[in-house]
Formats: sequence, structure tokens, C-alpha cells
Amino acid sequence: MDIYEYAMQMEKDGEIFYRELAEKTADEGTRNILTRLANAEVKHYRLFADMKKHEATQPVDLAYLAEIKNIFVQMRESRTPLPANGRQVVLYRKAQELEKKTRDFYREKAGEVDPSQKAVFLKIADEEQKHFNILESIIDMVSRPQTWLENPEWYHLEEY
Amino acid sequence: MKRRMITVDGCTACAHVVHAVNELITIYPITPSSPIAEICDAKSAKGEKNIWGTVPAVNEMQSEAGVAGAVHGSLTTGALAATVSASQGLLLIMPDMYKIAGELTPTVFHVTARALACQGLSIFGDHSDVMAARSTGFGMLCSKNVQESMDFSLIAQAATLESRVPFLHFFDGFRTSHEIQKIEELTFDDMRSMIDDDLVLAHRARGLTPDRPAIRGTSQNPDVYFQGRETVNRYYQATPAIVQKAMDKFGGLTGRQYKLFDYSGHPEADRVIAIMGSAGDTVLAVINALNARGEKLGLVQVRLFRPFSVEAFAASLPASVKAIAVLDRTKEPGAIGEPLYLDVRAAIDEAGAKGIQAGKTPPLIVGGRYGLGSKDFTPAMAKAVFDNVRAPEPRNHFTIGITDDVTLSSLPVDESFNIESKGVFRALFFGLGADGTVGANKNTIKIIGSRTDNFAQGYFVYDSKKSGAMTVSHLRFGKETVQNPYLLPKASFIACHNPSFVERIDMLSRAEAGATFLLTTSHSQDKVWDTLPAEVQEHLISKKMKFYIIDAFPLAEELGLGSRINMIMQTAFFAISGVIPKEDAVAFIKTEIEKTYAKKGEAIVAMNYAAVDKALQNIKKVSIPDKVTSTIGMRPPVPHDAPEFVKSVTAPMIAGKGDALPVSAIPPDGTWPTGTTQYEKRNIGVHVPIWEPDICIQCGLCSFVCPHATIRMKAYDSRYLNNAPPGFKSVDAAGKELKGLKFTVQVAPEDCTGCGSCVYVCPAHGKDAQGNKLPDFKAINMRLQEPLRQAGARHYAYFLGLPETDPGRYNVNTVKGSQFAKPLFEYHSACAGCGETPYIKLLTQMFGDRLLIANATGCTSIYGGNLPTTPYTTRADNRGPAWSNSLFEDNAEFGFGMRLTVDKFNSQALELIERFIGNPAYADMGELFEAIRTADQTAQNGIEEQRTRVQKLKSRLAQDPSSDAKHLGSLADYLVRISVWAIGGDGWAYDIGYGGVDHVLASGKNINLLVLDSEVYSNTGGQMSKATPLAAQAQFAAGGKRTPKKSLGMIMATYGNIYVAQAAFGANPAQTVKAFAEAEAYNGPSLVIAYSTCIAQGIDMSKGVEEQKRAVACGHWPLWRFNPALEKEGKSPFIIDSGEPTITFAEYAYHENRYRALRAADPELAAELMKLAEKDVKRRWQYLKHMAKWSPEQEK
Repeated sequence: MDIYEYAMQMEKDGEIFYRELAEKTADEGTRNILTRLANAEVKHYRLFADMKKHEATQPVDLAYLAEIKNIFVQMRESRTPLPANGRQVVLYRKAQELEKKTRDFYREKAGEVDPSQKAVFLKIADEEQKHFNILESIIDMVSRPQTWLENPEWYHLEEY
Repeated sequence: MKRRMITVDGCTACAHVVHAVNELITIYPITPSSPIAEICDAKSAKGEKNIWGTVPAVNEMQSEAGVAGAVHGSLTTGALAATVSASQGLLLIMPDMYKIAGELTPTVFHVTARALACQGLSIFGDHSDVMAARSTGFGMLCSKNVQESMDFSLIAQAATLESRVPFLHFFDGFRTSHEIQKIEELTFDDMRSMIDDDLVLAHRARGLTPDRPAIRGTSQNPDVYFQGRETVNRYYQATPAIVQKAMDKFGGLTGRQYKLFDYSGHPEADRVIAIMGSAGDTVLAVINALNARGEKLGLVQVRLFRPFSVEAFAASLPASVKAIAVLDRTKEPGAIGEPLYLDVRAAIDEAGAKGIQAGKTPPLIVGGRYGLGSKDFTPAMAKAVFDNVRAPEPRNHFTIGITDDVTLSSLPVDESFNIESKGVFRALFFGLGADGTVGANKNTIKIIGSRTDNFAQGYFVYDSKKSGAMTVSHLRFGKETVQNPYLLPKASFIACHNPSFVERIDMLSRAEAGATFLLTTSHSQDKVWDTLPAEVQEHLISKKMKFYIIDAFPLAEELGLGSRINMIMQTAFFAISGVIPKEDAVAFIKTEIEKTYAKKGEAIVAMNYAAVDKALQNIKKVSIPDKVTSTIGMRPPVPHDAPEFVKSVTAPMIAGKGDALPVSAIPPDGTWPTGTTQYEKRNIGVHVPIWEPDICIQCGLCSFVCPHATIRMKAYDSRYLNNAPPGFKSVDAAGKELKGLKFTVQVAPEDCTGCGSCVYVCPAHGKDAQGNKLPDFKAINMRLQEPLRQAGARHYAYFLGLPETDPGRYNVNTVKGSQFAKPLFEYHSACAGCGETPYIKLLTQMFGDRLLIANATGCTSIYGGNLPTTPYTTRADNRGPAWSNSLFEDNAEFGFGMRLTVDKFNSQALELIERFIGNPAYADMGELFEAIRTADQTAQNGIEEQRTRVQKLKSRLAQDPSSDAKHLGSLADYLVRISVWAIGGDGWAYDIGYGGVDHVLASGKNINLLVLDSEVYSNTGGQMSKATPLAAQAQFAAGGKRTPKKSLGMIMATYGNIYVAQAAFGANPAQTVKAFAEAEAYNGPSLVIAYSTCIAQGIDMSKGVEEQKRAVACGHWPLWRFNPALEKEGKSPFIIDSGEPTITFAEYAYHENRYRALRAADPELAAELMKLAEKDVKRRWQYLKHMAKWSPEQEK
């Protein structure tokens, strides 16, 4: 098993995690968001599969990745893993936190693995960072009604 | 180079030229000019160059006075420098304007003309500010619309360089500065053609330099000063011709030919209006309409007001003119007339004397005032002005647009007069301040302006509330240029983007016959009719309107867009209005989405596409019955039992009918009653908190953090529950002091904004059957307001009727105890979750009965004193805070002046008592006099006892007709302690008012300053102040602030005799209470700097408390107190109340958009600045610890 396979497994775990939650929730909006997040994990899975196909890597010690699996395992076992009700932006933020944890894990482990593996870990971390950034943009957009002030004294150079 | 057609507002149009023809742009934020500066700053931040290929430097100063000095310095050393300003900001610049003009220095100051703060502040437009500057020696050039605001920026620049006379280029604040129009953009080639490089070089060559030393600014004596003053005459004499030459050249380039005084209308007009600014277009529209009906009317649009050319003015008039009505958008109390009127009279007289008058006999000239503070100037008003000069005895010195029933100055107006042309599509949109309606409409204008050959106009009306504010968008589209600078009297399309407006805003009175009404509502196609008030049904039926609905909020939720409905509503408008073909509109919207969001990712684009598609599928047409069936009416703006003033004056203002109030209804000196927010039930909280007594631990935190004082608590005798309404909640009061009492936490559901801060801070969780903590169920939880409103309102009314908690049974100087005291600051209009207002509320709870507040201009003054309603209120005995706002820059001094009065009156009263002590008639009062003189007023009970004594004294004095008795009677209240607090934001204390803050604190007087530090100019949209932290983004710090935050508290602590505290109520509420109590108790100056979370920081406002905790935990905002009283006791005066940092600065910062935005835009720079910020925080923390180690003991 190499690092890409671990990364793929992570995305798989993420997909299952979001789909299970989506099935459990009655709120259509929340379900749509969770399904979208699950679909995004599928995309990430394919991305890593593609990277694996094109770049040879060395097997690594499983222990390095145990912790990241635990993040999802813990989330799945938690009674209230993500807010099923309330403001949707909170849901996006939680998903973003998971991306951050994943990214930080890869970055941290990049410093511990064999130097030949380091670049690959960092590359995966970069991909997780991209996912984080996309969620950041969504959060910015969705939270506008809470963070935007339309007032005669406020002039917005950016779009709503 | 071909010119582009662009759809922009006046600020953007002006900034296009300002940035292109200057090297230095030095500014200070003031509404409504700030956008020009912000756009220039953004251009420079992006590396955009001026016409000479260099990026202009944009610098923000500490005040307009600072701007004035800096610009003067730049100009005198030869740079092309400019500024933008308005209102009292311009007045601060004026001292330097005399110098700049006296030294014949070319520059253009661009002013978005705004009212001056007189009887009250107005951020809106008129010419009071620029007219105050008319004697400075600046040329004054006025543009009247968005196109001209660009054109005249350039013409003024060309003229100033040639004439050496500095120019003030101005246009109407908001009406032009913020109106969106489709205009032709000038190219850099146009600008290069207009600007003579030799003149630029000549200006530079005149600049002071040690290589060619010279001296300016000499001190001149009676022998030469006068002659020196006259040396400039020939430059002013030459200027009108130079301006006309520039206008002619510009006309040749662009086809837009202007004159110093532009005449339009009938060539043989008998009646003419002379006017400046945007209202000229309104007058012109009326002239065109009436001349077509056979009238002979004309307009003189005054462009160059200074230097005023008698010749050019006389030449502009047709020989046939018999009467001139001069309209001034300003007021000069006590003058013979307003400035333009006086000049026109003088000009006609001088023209006659010179023999260059237009006709054989001098025309009748009358003058009038219009449009103050952005009062709309309509075609009907223009017609009334023409009608007046045709009357047998035309009224002079009239007003138009108001009803002056006191001095009878106003002209009658026929409101039915309407000249709106048929080929124009008119639409009105009613939205909430945060729902994106304005943004969507700006986008709509952009689409129609840029993708079709239509002309477009957009103007946006806002109320000044920061939570639950209503926006009204006025849009016009047409094949011809749309130049109607006034609000839409009627519209063929009206959209309501928030269902709560239906019951309180009379939107459809502005619907044309056959108009379309689009409503977002949760009610279905077949049920919605029955939910409408009868008045709305009546409009829909009688005007034969079309009615559509869409349930936008669930659609947005379904798409994962939260409550973001703007794209849905924009699509719905295009789909049903028919303003352009639906298919084209959808394609255009999607192209705009792609353009706007592509860089943010495919997901964002897809979500917005989905919103468009979803909207198209969910618009429902509602069939309109032929009879009104509703049994509900529109909600009255205030309750029937409100005081008479509130019913007759405040209520119309709340209902949007304040324009109809006559002069007699308005207080003549700007003094308004306090405590009127209680009558404006805004019902803006979609969700409101509901208390769970069985879970509650009675800590009081929910009430403490509530920004709007809509959560209250009382402890009271159980007998009061006997008549409680059903569902009124109570529980046994906790704590030995309250033993035997009942306790209630009550929410005001109609006043709550639904911010959720209370729920977030609540520490008490419910438990399940197994005893496990329920994370989502606390002692207070958010629930939908609508179903709970009526019962909740009944409970709140009952709660207010309960007696106040006995002050003897709680300590107000504790977190919980403070919340039993009635807040005397309530239901204001600050943002939901505001981080400033809990401090002010606390202040009123602790000292409200004796509080005199000087309030700096800013957020605090807007939510503190923004009409129609006022949030400062009173106790049952009618005692409460007295409040006033002077200016932004002078607030510490304003408060200082109050303190001087209080101290003087107190000492005078004591002096008078001395006299009475020796008076045999008062021999029986000796004990009372002694008790009054020596009263201990350090605690509330001592103050109340003193009040009782003073009341006794006053009763006795009332029977004494002597002069001394009258004086002592009027001063006796000052024998009771009065607490003076100067309140304001960081913009005031760190920047514009810093000199005064320093001076007042150094005075040694017993005055308290409360600085609500949001680290940014919150009120004007988030400009950088010296309180802004390193690495944070703000306006004028687009690339992140590069310098550290000023340590205001540490600086002031160096005096040694000033009490200073740095507090953050969310991190340590007890420390905040302690700081307030100590500051108040300290008999000397005190300064409390309070960390204030703010929407401008880009945080989730419901979690402001958490953000405060992080700010403290990372060391950015250590909590500390410097108490000089401790030093006298031999202790260290420095007390640090927070621990060693436990998280990094980045861990705090990246919860806030102001830091995240830079990380997204430039990660490397953000990382670099974050390192510097981290280092700075550590440095400050070490320094603070070092200071705290010192104690007087070490000196021994």
C-alpha cells in the first residue's frame, strides 16, 4: 500500500461519512450539501487514483495514516458528528475543518517520512488545501447575509 | 482609442480621473466621498498607473486636518496631489485651502457635497459644505450627473494647472455620487490631450527644494499683507476663460460641450431657473415637458460658481427673461439670501451697470431653498417654482419640498404633476440590508447597461439602521438617456424581497395601473391572498395588477445557499418583468455569474447557476379575486398607547412618511425625547431565544451579552405571579441574597434581532434521560419567532410591569448583579450581535441614572441617536442618560466641557449653601446642609440618599423668592454625583480625536473615556485606523496593514495618574465590570478600552464572545488594569488579568475574514505579515509583564 492508496481510502471514508449523514437527515438542503460534499470526495478519490497511475511511489508505514482514518471513524461514531439543523454555513465550516485536519496530517507526516516520499505527501496536502479553499469560497458566499451590511455609509468594492 | 460605455456610479466615474491625473492622493474617510478614495486605493493596490505611467500613492491620514496639511505639503513641493471629502470634513480642510489658494497652487479637491451637522447630523446631500468653502479662493466647478462627475474632474484638472487657481470640483452627495448611470468612459488619451505636460512641469518646478531654495508661509505685517492679497487678482480674472477653453477643448474631443453657465430651454423664455447640481436635470425635464405644451421656460445650469463670471452669466440668459428663480441647496441662517441667489442678484445688477444685461429691463429675481439633506427634488417641485414666479406677487426666500407652517416659507406643490416618460421601464425593489437586493440590482443594471443598447439608472435608498434595515432600489431603463435624478413616484414593477414588509410598508401605493408585484413568501399560490392586509389587496385589485410569488428562502436552503436569495430574486425579476427577453436575460445572468465567480471555483458557479434554474421553475402567478377579502390591516407603526409626540411625529417617520411632517412638528433646537425605541416593534428576528427555567443556572450571561437589551432578568416576590399570563415562566431564585424570591429571564421577541449571542454564551446544557449533556439544548435556545410572537409579547409586557429587583439584594458591581439593573439603552439599530453595545448597556446599568454622555460620531452615535427612535431611556423616576453628539474629532473635549459644567455647578451650589448656612431663616436646615456637603456618594445607596436630601432642599427653596434660592434651586441637582463619560470608537480615540483624548486625560479632571475598539472605522465601512492590527486587511490597507496597532492604553498609562483598563467582556465579563466600577470610582481621568467585535472584521457575529476569548488567549488583547490608586497604597498599579498566551496569533486571526481575505489573495504575503504580527504580540506581552513587575516598593 502506498501513500496514494491511503489518500484514496481517506476520500472513500469521507464519501461514506457524508453519504451516511445525508441519508439520515430529513432536511433537503442539508442533504444536498452533504451529497455535494460526498461527490466532491469522489472527485478527490479519482484525482488521487489518477496521480497514483502516473507517479510511482514507495510503500509507507501504515501507522502514519492511522490517525487520519481515526478522524472519520470518530466522526462517524459520534452521536452528533455534524450539525444536521441550523445554519448551513456551520455545516460547511465543519467540512472545512475536516479538510484542514487532513491537510495538516499530510503536512505533518511529510516531515516524518523518508525524504523520497516527502514531495508526494506535500502534493496531497496541497490538494487538500485546494478543497479547503473551495469550501472557504462557499462559506464566504453563503454567509453573506450574516456578514454583509447594506448601508448608506458602507461601499462594497467586491461582489455580494 | 475608442471610448467604452460603462455603467458606474458618480464616485467610480470621478475616481477614474482622480487616479489617472495625480501622483499623490491623500484622504480621510467621510461619507459619501469615501468610495472615491477606496476605489483609488484599490487601483493603486492592483498596480494601476496614472497617465504618466506611475502608480499614485494613496495615503490615509488621521483626520481631514491631517489631510489638509499633507496635501498642502505635497503641493508646495511640486507634486500633483488631490483629496476627496465632504461635510464637516471639508471644513477641517478649509484652513489650508486659504493657504493653498493664496499660494496659487494648482490642485483639485473633489467633494461629494453633503449637509453639515447643525441641529442634527445628516450624511446626505446638499451644498452646505461647499458653500462654506466659497471664500477660500478655490475655484468651484459643479457637475450635475455621473457623466459630468468624470468629465469635470478632468476639466477642473486642466483648468487648475493653467490658471494656478486651485479647484473644488463638487457634485451631489448620494444623488450623483451613488447613482448608477450608463456613461462614456474617458480614455487616458483624452486625459493626455487635456493635460498640458508643460504646465505639470511648471508646477513641479515651482515646488520647494533645497536645490532652488525659497521661502513660503512668511509672516506679513500691515505694510504689505494687503497688497500681497491683491496679487492674485489677475489669476482669478483669467480663470473663467481658462475653464471655458478647457470645456471647449473637451467638447471637441468628446462631443460634450459645456459652458460656464449652460442655458437650456426656450430661446425666448420668460421664466428661468438658475441652479447648481443634479436638480438641474429635474428642472430640464420639466422645462422640456412644459415647453412642449406651449410654455416658455428656461434653465441656467451653473457650472463655474467661483470665480463667478458676470459676463458669462449675463450672456447665458435669453433677452426675453422676465423672472429668474434661483434655487440654492443650502441654508445660511440670517443672510439676506443664500449664496447663489445673492450672486445672481449682484451679477444682474453689475451686468446692468456694465450695459451687458440680457434684456432691456432687469428681471424679477427670487430665491429659494430646496433639497437639504437629500430631500428629494421632484418635477412637481420644479413646476411649483416656475408657477411662483408667474404669480402676481411671487414669494421670495421660499422653501420648496417641505411644509413650513411656522414661517410660511414653503410653496404649494401639485403632487399629481407627473412627467415620467412612457418609454421608460420603472422598477422598485424592497429588500433587507443584508439580503443582497442592492447588489443584485446593481448587477441587473450592469447587465442591461452593458449587454443591451438600453440606458440604465439605479439609485438606492437606505435607512440608517444596521440591523433590519430596509433598502429601496429605484431602477429606470430606457432607450434614451435616463436623466431623472429623483425617486420613482410610480413603478410598473414592484418586488418585495422580505415578507415582513407586507404588513408594515405601503409598497403598492407606488404601483402604476397594471403593474406587476413580486413577493417572496412562504405561503402557497392558493393561500397567499388570505395573508395579505386589506390595503394590499385593494391596490392589487383596483390597479389591475399582476401578482407573482416565489418562496425564495427554502429554495436557497435547498441549494445549500443558506439564506442567500439574491440570485433567485434577480432571476425572478428578469423572468416576469419582460424588461428584456427571458432567454437573453438568463444567458446574460449566467455569463455574469461565470465572470464574477469563475476564479472562486466551479462549485460556486454551479451553485449560482442552480439558483437561476430553480428560480425559473418556482415562480407562481397568483390570480387576483375581484373583491377585498382580508380581515387584517397594515400594522400601525407604534402602539395606540404611545405618547402623543411618538404618535404624531415618530410614527410617520417609522412608516416612511416623515417627508410629510411640517416644520412645526420638528423640535426647533435638535432636542428629542429619549426612550422611544420601545415603541418601534421591528420584529426582525426570524429566530428568537426561548428560556428554559429548569436548565438555567441563573448566571446572567445571556442578559449580559445581549447587544440590544432584549433579554432581561428580575427577581421578585412570588405574589406577582398570581396574575401572570398563561405560559409566563419563572423559577425559584438562586443564591442566598435572593432567597424566597422568584426569578425570570424574559426575552422581548418583537425587539430581538435574533443574533444568537445569548445561546452561544449560555453555559447550561440540558441532559438526556441517561444524564448525558445535550449539546444542542441549552437553558436558552433559538426558536422561530413568528409562532411565539404574540404570547412572547404578552409575557414581556407583564415582565416589564413587575417591580425592579430590590437593589439591596444584589451587587451591581458583579456580572450577575449588574443584570438585575434596568438597562437604560435598549432596542437600538446596531448590527445583530454587535460587540460594542453590551458595554454601553452595562454602563447604563451601572451608572445610568447619573450618566452624561458625550458621543463621538461613528457607529455609537448612529445607533445611539439615529432617528426616528432613540434608545437611551429612563428609570421609573425618569432619570437616565443624557446624551449628545458634537463631532467626530472633538468628543473628548465635548465631554470635558460637560465635566467643567458639572464641576462648576456643583461648586456654585456648595458656595450658595455656604451663604444659606448663615441665613437665620434656614437655621433649621443646618443638619441637612451638613449632610449634603459631606455626603458619601461612592455607592448607589449614598447617591439615592443624597437625592432625597436634595429634594428636601429644593422643596424648601421653592418657597423662597430670593435670587439665591432660585439659583440654588436650579443648581441643587448638581449636588448629586454626575458621571461624565465620553464614548466613541477607535477612529475617534486613536486617530481623529487623539489629540483631544490625550489632552483631556492629561487634565486630571474626573472624566471617563470609553473606547469601543473594533480596530477599524466600522461606521463608514471598515477603513483602517491606527487600532487596526498588523496583517489585517481593511479599506486603505488592501494589502494588509504593515504597521503595528497603537497601544493607546500603554501610552496613557505613562502619565501615571490616569486609570486605564483594557477589557473584553466575552473573555472575562467580571473584569469588564470591575474596570467600569474602578474607572467610575477613580477621582480623576480614566480610560477603558473595550475590545469590540464587529461585522467589519468578517466574523460570525453570533460567536463574538468566542472571538474575544481567542483575541485574549493569543495575547493580542491582554486584559489589564492600571490603577494609580494602587500605587498610592504602595502596590504595583499594573494588574494583568489574563494569562500567558495559549494559542498563536494565527489561530485567532484566521477565524476572521479580515485576515483570511489576504491569505486567499496573497498567501505568501499573508504568511510573512502573520509572522510579524506574532512577533509583535509577543513583544507587547513581554513589555506588559515587564511593566507589571514594577512596584513602588522597589523604589525603597
